[in-house]
Amino acid sequence: MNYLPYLSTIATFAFTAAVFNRYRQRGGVYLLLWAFGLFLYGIGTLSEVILGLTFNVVVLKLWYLTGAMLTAAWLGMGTVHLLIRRGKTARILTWILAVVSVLALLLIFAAPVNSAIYDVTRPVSEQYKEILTRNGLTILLTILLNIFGTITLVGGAIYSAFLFWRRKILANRMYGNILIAAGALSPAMGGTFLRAGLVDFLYLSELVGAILMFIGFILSTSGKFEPSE
Amino acid sequence: MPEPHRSKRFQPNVITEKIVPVLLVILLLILLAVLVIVVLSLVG
Repeated sequence: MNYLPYLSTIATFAFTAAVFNRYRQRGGVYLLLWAFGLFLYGIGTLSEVILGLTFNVVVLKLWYLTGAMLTAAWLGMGTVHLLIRRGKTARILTWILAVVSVLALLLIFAAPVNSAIYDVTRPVSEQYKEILTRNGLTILLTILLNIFGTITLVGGAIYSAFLFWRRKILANRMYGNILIAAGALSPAMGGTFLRAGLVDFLYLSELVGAILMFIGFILSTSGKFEPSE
Repeated sequence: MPEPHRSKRFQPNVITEKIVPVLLVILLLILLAVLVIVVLSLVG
């Protein structure tokens, strides 16, 4: 039994609660969207916990929908709202992402599954391609959502850290954004480890990613100034 | 009342002047590499 998804689930839901609590205290659409993205992250790792114990078609589809398709995109959308305060760009992008997310949901729940070959002793990430039949549109959406999410979440954190560094202000936010960028990159890099046959590293990367982003968030919000970037 | 802008500033040191820029460049390079890998791994 791999215990890492258990730890990732606990860390991610604790992080979700912290972000949502801050949203309730301070407001800000970006915090609400980050909380939603983190909730999806937690659903993904919780699905890994369940799929490590038994097989369930709905859980497998939830795992792919949240972990592979939607988490990075919704976290990135939070960053879009944080960085683009003027105009309707962020709002329009959010509606587009909402429509794409519904489409992704329909595509995944309509996708055929070959559950007979599922091996509960192997990580789901190692065998999902043989079990879950994805059509071209599903794969295309997965790629586009991950590219969008990675660029906006990681790129946004790097950009924010760069601005704080250039202006020599708010060191806590500069370091916090560096940790958030590193944490967000971690699960994406886990896919690379998986291809190299190091399957445990995917689960480890999810845990490390959640913890680094959580620490980065705490560090960024530890000062008394509201986000300016 | 908001504090003056100056109070938010930090004193540059070796970490902020040497290590942070290198870290940011490394993260940017990893980001670019991950984007390429995302496309290749999902298509492949």
